[in-house]
Amino acid sequence: MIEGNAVQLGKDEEIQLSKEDTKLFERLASERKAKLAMGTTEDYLKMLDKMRELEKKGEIIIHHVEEEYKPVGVRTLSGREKKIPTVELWQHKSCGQCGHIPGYISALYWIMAELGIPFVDDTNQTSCTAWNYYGSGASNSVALSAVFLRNMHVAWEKNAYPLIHCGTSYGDYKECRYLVVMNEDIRRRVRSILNKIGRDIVIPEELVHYSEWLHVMRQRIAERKKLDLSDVKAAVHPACHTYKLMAEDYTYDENILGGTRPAPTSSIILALGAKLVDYSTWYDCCGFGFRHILTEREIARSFAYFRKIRPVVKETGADVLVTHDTGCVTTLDKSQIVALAHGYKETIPVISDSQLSALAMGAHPFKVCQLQWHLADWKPFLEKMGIDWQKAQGEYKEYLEMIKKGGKPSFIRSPERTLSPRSEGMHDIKIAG
Amino acid sequence: MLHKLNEDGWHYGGLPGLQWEAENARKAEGGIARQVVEELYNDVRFEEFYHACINCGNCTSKCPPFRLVDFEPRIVVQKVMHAKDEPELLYQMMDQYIWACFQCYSCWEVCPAHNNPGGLVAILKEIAVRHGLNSAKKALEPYSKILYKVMTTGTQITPDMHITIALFKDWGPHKAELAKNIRAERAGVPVETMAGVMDKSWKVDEGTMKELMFIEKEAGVFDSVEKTLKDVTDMVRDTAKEAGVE
Repeated sequence: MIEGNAVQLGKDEEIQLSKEDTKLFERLASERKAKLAMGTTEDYLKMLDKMRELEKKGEIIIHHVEEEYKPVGVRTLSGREKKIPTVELWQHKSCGQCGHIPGYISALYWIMAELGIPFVDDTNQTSCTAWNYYGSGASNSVALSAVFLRNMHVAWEKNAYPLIHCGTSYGDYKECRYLVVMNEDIRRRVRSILNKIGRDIVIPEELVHYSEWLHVMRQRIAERKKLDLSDVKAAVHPACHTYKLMAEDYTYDENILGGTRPAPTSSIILALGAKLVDYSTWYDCCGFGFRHILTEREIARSFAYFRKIRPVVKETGADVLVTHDTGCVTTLDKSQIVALAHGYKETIPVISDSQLSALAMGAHPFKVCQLQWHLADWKPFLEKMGIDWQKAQGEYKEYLEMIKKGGKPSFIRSPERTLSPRSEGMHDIKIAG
Repeated sequence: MLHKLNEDGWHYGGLPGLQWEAENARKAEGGIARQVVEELYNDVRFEEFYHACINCGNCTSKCPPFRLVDFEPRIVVQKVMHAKDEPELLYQMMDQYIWACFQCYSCWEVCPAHNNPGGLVAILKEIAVRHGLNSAKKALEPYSKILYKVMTTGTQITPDMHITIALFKDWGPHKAELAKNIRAERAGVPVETMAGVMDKSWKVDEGTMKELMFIEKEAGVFDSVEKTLKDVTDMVRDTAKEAGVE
């Protein structure tokens, strides 16, 4: 335990360290924690070296985070610096977000459009298919890796840097990248499949989750803030697949929670001027369970309510629970109604960090942030933010009537791109049957 | 094979094994049990996911399903560790037990020996599907529609799930409210790739779906799912054929 520059070694034992030594101690503690995933931190860094070696041999192409992507450096749990691209982003959409909680994505696109960030929203994209794999076991390493690399090849062709929306896609892709780089047999089998569809192995230098993008853009977002969030108390649920699956590669910042927990999402809340509140079960998962949210729902919702929602509300009195993953928003939000029907009182709105940021920047709560798809009562939270939800709801009803009469929404579009695609068009499957 | 179990059903160094579990294990078909172990140990991820287990229980202490059901990642790793001597116990665990895992990987993050119990479970599930074990059939059956959708379109959660209140009815009145206007709600999403798309998460190009099905076919996914869900695989193969893949 570190307090100031004192390190508590035992009950009556403590040593004083210089500021530099304290930092070193924290760093060592952090690295020690990092030695807990796919091999060790050392293995992980070796994988990155191997990736560069394969590039030199011409075996793979690395999609580098070049200067044209205007990267910002962050520190990861492994201690290395990771480059986060900030412009010209290829939006790797999430099946769960787009299907159930569309405001998650529209809010993110809206922020980018407001900040003048060019992006590509592609229809030549599949999900990672890993939700299905983790839930049902109906895939394998070669298929998952080929799906990953097919999507990454498309992004490379479009000359846009992949920004991964889903925590599970992000975690799965980190696993796949490790396997493809470190295992010759997997690499050979995947290459053979990709070649047959006219593609090759293109591996991103950095795998980047959108919450890391929000983290590095937080000051620019805060500068565009239109609402006062100083009365808003926000709790964070960090998504397991962002920071537990291949833990070494997610963003940590010694200025955010002392660098002991993932920085994204907490950092945007702080930048927006809201109060960040803590609760005892922050480490617990949301209860999603992949298979459970679809076919064993009583387990998912019991866990979500009793291990997350109740502790958050009882311990912190938070106005909103903010998270950064598909399944977490869905599970934590939708799992409240049955408990409420059974007489429990605790309830809290659950939204993504992109929705919170967009709301703070003045986005429409329903047309852009699509809060009508969320279940838990968001009205008190919106009131705390100073949003007239009744007026906004009236506007949305008119908008919906316009849509019902065949009107079209005003689509959020990317600002003009500065980079040109490397190539366009679909690839013919050379071998079929 | 099971001589290490004493009369109380305890086996290898104090790990509790219930008597019924031992009895069930004895009924297991030895050939399949040994094959499962061989496939697990030969999986390319095995060396990364399993090192050695000191039975500390850190993984279980952080395991979400452990709080609600009979599931412990520690037991999974222990049975994997002893699987060569006692393959029946590992095989028996594949019926129901492993399917409780949330795949959250909290266990992986806290294991001092760098084991990845969640990863081991993922491999075991894959093997169960490949062999068409009854446990996999039971687990995948309610999944059929989603499985078909993800294998053919690459997306799996879609707004048409909200057309009726039958799916996710525990979302309460909110679900019914959403169902009333779902088409207009979806048409009003201000993102061009999503607006009005009901049967996929977003608009997916025909060629993209074709490439996906080709990958699955070549990587052996069609063949592996066939033993567990033949009807679904037949439908997927038909769709692939129509797309010019099969």
